[in-house]
Parts: sequence; structure tokens; C-alpha cells
Amino acid sequence: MSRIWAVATVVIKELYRRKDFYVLFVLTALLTLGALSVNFFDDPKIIRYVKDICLLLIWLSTLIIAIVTTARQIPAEKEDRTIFPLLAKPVSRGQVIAGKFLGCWLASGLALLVFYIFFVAVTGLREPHLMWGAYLKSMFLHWMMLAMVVGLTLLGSVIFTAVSANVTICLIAIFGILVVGEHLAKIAVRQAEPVRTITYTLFYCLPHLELFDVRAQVVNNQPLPGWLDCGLASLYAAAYTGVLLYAAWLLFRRRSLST
Amino acid sequence: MNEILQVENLRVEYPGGRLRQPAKIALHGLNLQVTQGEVFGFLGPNGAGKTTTMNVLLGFIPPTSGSAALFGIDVRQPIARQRIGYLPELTYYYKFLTAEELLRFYAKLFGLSRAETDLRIKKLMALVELEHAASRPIKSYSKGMRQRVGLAQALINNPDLLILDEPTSGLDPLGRMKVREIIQRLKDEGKTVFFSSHEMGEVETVCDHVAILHQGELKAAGVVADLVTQYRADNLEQVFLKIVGYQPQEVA
Amino acid sequence: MKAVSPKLQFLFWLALAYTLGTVTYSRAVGRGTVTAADEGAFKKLLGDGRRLFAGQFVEMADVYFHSGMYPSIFDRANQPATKAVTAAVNEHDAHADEEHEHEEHEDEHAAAMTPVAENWLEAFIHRFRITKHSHLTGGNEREMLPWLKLAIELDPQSIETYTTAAYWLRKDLGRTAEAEAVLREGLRNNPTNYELLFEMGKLYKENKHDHERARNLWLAALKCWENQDDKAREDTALALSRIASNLGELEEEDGHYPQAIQHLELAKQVSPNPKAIQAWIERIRAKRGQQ
Ligand SMILES: Nc1ncnc2c1ncn2[C@@H]1O[C@H](COP(=O)(O)OP(=O)(O)OP(=O)(O)O)[C@@H](O)[C@H]1O
Ligand SMILES: [Mg+2]
Repeated sequence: MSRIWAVATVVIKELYRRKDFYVLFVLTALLTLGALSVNFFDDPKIIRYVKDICLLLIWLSTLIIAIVTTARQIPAEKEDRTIFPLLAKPVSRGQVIAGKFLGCWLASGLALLVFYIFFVAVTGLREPHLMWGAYLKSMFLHWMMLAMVVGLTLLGSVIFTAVSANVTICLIAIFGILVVGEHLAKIAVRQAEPVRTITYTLFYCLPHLELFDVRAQVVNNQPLPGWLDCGLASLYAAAYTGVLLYAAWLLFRRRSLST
Repeated sequence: MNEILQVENLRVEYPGGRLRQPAKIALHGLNLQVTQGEVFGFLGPNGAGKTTTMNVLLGFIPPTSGSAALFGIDVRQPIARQRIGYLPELTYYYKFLTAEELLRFYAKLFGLSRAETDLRIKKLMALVELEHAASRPIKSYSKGMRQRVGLAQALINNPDLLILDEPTSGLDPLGRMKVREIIQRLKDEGKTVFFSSHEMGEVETVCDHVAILHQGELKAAGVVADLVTQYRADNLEQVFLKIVGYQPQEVA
Repeated sequence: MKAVSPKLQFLFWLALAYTLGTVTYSRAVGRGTVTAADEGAFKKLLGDGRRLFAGQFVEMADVYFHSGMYPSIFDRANQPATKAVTAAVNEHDAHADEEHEHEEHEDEHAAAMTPVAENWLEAFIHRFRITKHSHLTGGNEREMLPWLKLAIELDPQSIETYTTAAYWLRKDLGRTAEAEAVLREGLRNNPTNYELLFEMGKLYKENKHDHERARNLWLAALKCWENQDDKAREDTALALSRIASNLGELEEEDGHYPQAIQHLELAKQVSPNPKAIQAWIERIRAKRGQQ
């Protein structure tokens, strides 16, 4: 475990020493504050659209951070040849995969925390009552979703050699799932036979990332799902991530890496 | 005799490229033993298969057939690497870390305690003369400085076996001298060193044993002096040239 | 900046350029530095895209109106095209309608929006969605305004957006001045639109209690309605009924019974519920007889 943790800390250090995160944060902050500064009918109480825009930007930014950070990990290790001194230590390839996953997931979580603090600060400017429980739950679900995203991208990074190909494919797949994932069953009903079964299979097999998107509740001050449901969703995310990491390990385990 | 490094019937094929070229056989049935306390020179012309052998020893590539073991443990098990230090042929390290952070990271992978890590880092930074740059990110280092970081990381766990792939290439004469000194010191401490090199003079001065590889096959192995006599040569360089079939040509 | 990947840099500059572009453009239009010709070309270029976005923003307002409940296109397949947020404007108009009919309509609307789960996984996903139908109340209606405002900016020809924004402003938020400003802006862009004139009349009558202005506005609305071609008149008969019945009510309140009856007779011709209007006319006749 301490070896996995050691690998993870290097990933986290890399995230905050690179500038990507700061650019996305400043961008989100600028656009949100810009939205906040617009005067709509001299009504200073209007806030939901700002929450909406801010959360949308947070979703986009954290997805980009998670995908880009994760997709780089193993290819960069190979390209910079840092993988050789690393694997020459008594670590197994499984531990490297696990450490990379943990590092990327924690790093995204850290970024997420910073973004959410900003979100709560902006919301607090106008919302009379802050719904701390809701924010916490929303952030937690978001983080669980990022686990699947990181797992998926890590798997992609051992399949595709080019980082840009992996990033593009992951972005398309993940946005696709976020947009149509939950409707696939309804789409399937309207299809003719071979497509129908395929669509149903996709519905049951694809990771339902959109499940974890509770922005609507947060924006509109509506009750969030209970902790039991959140727990079940987290189990789902954990199981799915486990499968993805297992697949990544299977592929990476016997991979030959020649110096 | 205590075999620290053992290679038996090792065969490695690299898959052919995209055009379905036949597989490239890098090693055909290599046998090799290194015993404790030896400084073992692993020689051979470019493309002979030295790096390939080391890649198998470190578990980077799986052997096509045959086996390799370190300290009697199959190289496929990570624990086989617990007591070794490795310096790759070409080295780059995480550029965003400082040398000290890098060493700390590797120490953690070996499971060293904090106190021990502090001690080792202090000692190694002094040994490779990088104390002044220890807290600068590696991206600001020169090539020679990076090579020295490489040497320091190979020694972080106070290894019993060092595997060095051309440790002196790219270093200035002073740097080479230092590396030779370090190898000598390790030998005095009873450590085993397995290294590849193209510098015959260097090999002659520091090695007790050598092996000469050519086209994936072991051509000669033994104590340097014995080989020189056996091949009726003046020095190791001539032995090497004879083995690889070099014919001096008349300058027209 | 070298540590930042080029794609991200591109994204950053794109976003920045976009923000600057929109800000300076709207400023320039405000100051009049952009000429009508420039604007025409600009709008043509972005015309369809702008309308698309405007539609999306009205949609957003509707989602906010339902406290974030957002049925997918599959869940609302059998739902009428009108959105609750815009439909609300017309709800209180048909005086002849009975109150419970409105409620019935509400239930239907709520049922049409509630998503149906067809399998366990969908059922589980729905636990993470807002499935309870509700409408904004208690001043929270203000939250819809930004989206409506944006929709107006992007598509100044969409009348529904002006009337909806003005409705919510003057009704639950009690911001008559802002509502009037919205309608004025709408009339500046669409000077002969009877819907806007009608809404303005409602504002004058209900919020400012200025029957004189309301009457003039509604009469102007009637005229504008009549100035349409035959086909358009046929399609918008309901609007005529609404204008005429409101005029009738106004005249009744002011005690101008003959005029009231005259307007109601007009409304009756096109109303979907002529019987109710006839009954109303009878009531006025009776009142007149009593005088
Ligand atoms: N990844 C690879 N794919 C295919 N062939 C390879 C690969 N790596 C090495 N080879 C081939 O295997 C043979 C042995 O290569 P190796 O790198 O082990 O040589 P070497 O003895 O280290 O040479 P040098 O002194 O130049 O470092 C060479 O013919 C080389 O072309
Ligand atoms: Mg080599």
C-alpha cells in the first residue's frame, strides 16, 4: 500500500506543479464572476443562473483535468523513460496502475475541492441559506464519477499509444455517456432489431456517469438523493472502476517495455 | 559459490514491425552466472543484446523462453528487485521533482524508513556531488548532473547488486573517473556489480570477470587475464576484436 | 506557459475572445457605433444559431420554472408543445373558463412531465433526478429572468419571450416598471405586434389601474390584429377573442355597457366557448336594464 501511495503522491505533485489546473480555475472563476456581474432587471437576488454556469464550468474543468492528467501518466512515463527506473524498483505493474489511479483520482478530487470552495463562496454572496449537506453530497457524487472517468482513461492509456488519440476518444465517449447514457433504454425501444439489442446492451454495460450529475438539484435548491442512494451509487462506481482497473492491469501486466 | 544473477537458456524475440517482418531474435539461449562480490563486465558490439538481457533481468520484457533469476528469485516477481540498483542506458527523471524528492520517492518504493532515507540521501548527494543542487527541479540539470542523479537513485537502497547499462557513456573524463571509483568502492564493500560498457580499458581496470556477447550469443566468458591468454592477445580490446571477427584492413 | 498543453491554451484564448467579443459587441450596439448595416450582416451570419440558442434559453427558463425538473424528449413525447412558463401568461385570460378546468390542465401537464421508468436501472437513475412536479413561487420566479433576457437579446423577434418576461416581472415579482421596459423594447423591435400591445394593456389595467391607457392599447391591438392578412387572422382568432373579451370586461367595469356588449359580441364570434360569453352578455344586458 505504501508503494501505491508513493506513486500516487508523485502524480499529485505533478498536477499542482503543472499550469493546466490554474488556467482552468482562473477561466472558471473569470467566466463565473463575469456572469455574476451582469445586471438583470436590477434584481440583485438572482443567483441560480450563476450557480448553473459555475457548476457547468466545474464539470467541464474537472473532466478535462481528470482526463488529461490520467491520459498522460503512462505514455509520459514511457516517453520520458521514467518508467524504467520506476519498474526497476520492487513494485509490481499492478501497484503502478493502482498508484496512478489513486494519484489521478485524488488529484482530481483536490481540484474538485478548490472548485467547490469557489462555488460555495460565489453562491454565499446571494443565497440566503447555504445548503451545506447538498453541496457536500454533490461534490462526493461528482468525485465518485471522476473515479470511473480516471479508470476509463487509464485503461485507454494502456490501449492507445498516442495520448491525443486517447484524450479525444475518452472525451467523446464520456460526453456521449453524459448526454445520452440514461436515455439509451428509451432509444432502444424505438429501434429495429439488431440495433435494439446493441443499444440495450450499451445501456446496461456503459458506466452511467450521468447518474452522478445532481447539478439540477443544487442549482434549484431541491432535495438531493438520500445517503443510502448515494452509497449505492458509490458502490456502483467502485465496482465499475475496479473492473476498468483490472482490465488495464491485464493489458499492462505482460506488456514488454524495452529501453 | 553464491549465484546472485543467473540466466538460463534465455531466448528473446522482438516481434517484427508492422509489415509482418520476421521476429528479431535478440538473444538465443543465453547462459550467464554472476557470483557474489564480482565486478562483472558485460561486453559486446552495438546490437549484441546487452540491453535486452538487462531488460529481462529487470522484468521490463518477458523472456520468450528460458529463465532469469536474481538472488534466486524469478525476475517476474517484484521482490527480486528489492536488493538491486539499476542505472538505465539513457536516463530521464521526473522533471518536475527535485533530486531530493526523486530519491525520497524511490526510497519509499524500497520501503526504507524515514530516518534511513534521510541518511542515505545525505550520503549519496555528497557522493555524486549534487548537494548544491539537491532542491532544484531536475529539469534545470545538465546532462552530466542527470547522470549523477541516476547513479544516486541506483544506490538509494544500498543494493547488493548493481546493474549498470553503460554507466560512463556521456560523462567527461572526471565523471568517468568518479564512476570507476564508486564501482571500486562498492566492490570493496563486497557488493556485486554487473555492467555493460564499450570502454575496454575501463573494463580491464575494474572487472574481475567479463562476458562477451555477439549477435545474441555468448562468445566468451571468464576472468580477464585468462581470456587474454586464451585468445593469445595483448589486451582485452584485442580479444574483443577477435571475437567479433574484425579484420584489420590495409589503407589503400 | 510551456507547461500548459497547447489545446488548453487554445481553449483559453477562444473563451477569452468570445467573452470580449460579446461584451464589446453589446457595448458597441448600445452606443450606436455599430451601424444598422453591420448589425444586419452580423445577425444574418449568426441568425439561425442565435435563434437556436434563444430557444434553448427559453427552455432553460422553463426548467427553472419547474425547479430544475427536466424531462427528456422521450418523457415528453406526448406533451403539448407549449411550455408551462409561457403558457402561464395566457392562463388567466380566458375569463369564461371555469376555474377547475385550469386545475385539470395543471394535473395533465404535471403527469405528462413525470418520467416513467421502464426498468430497474432507469428507476434507480430517476432517484437522482428531480421527478416532483412543481412551479416556482414566492419571488423565486426571478431566477428565470436571466434566461429570458438572454433569449430576448438573441432573438428580438420572438414575441413570446417578451410577454413571458413581462408577465413574471409584473405579476409575482411586482416589478411593473421593468415589465413595461421589456414590453417597450419588444414594441421597438416589433411595433405592430398585437400580442405586445395586449400585454402592455394588461399591465396598464392590472398593475397601474389606468383604464384609459389600457383601452387605447387594446384598441390599437385590435387594429393591428385586423391589419393582418386573412390567413393570419384565421390562425390567430383566439388572440382576437382574448383582446375583445378583455376590452369587454374593461368597459363593463367602467359602466360602458353598450361598448362592452359590442366587444363581447366580437369575442363570441371567435371564442372556443361562445356559450359562456353569451351568458356574460346576458348578465350585462340585465345590469343595463336595472339602470
Ligand atoms: N524494441 C525492440 N524491437 C525490435 N528489436 C529490438 C528492440 N530492442 C532491441 N532490438 C534489437 O535487438 C538487438 C539487441 O539490442 P540491444 O539493445 O540489446 O543491444 P545492445 O547490446 O544493448 O547494443 P548497444 O551497445 O548499441 O547498446 C538489436 O539487433 C536490436 O535491433
Ligand atoms: Mg544497449
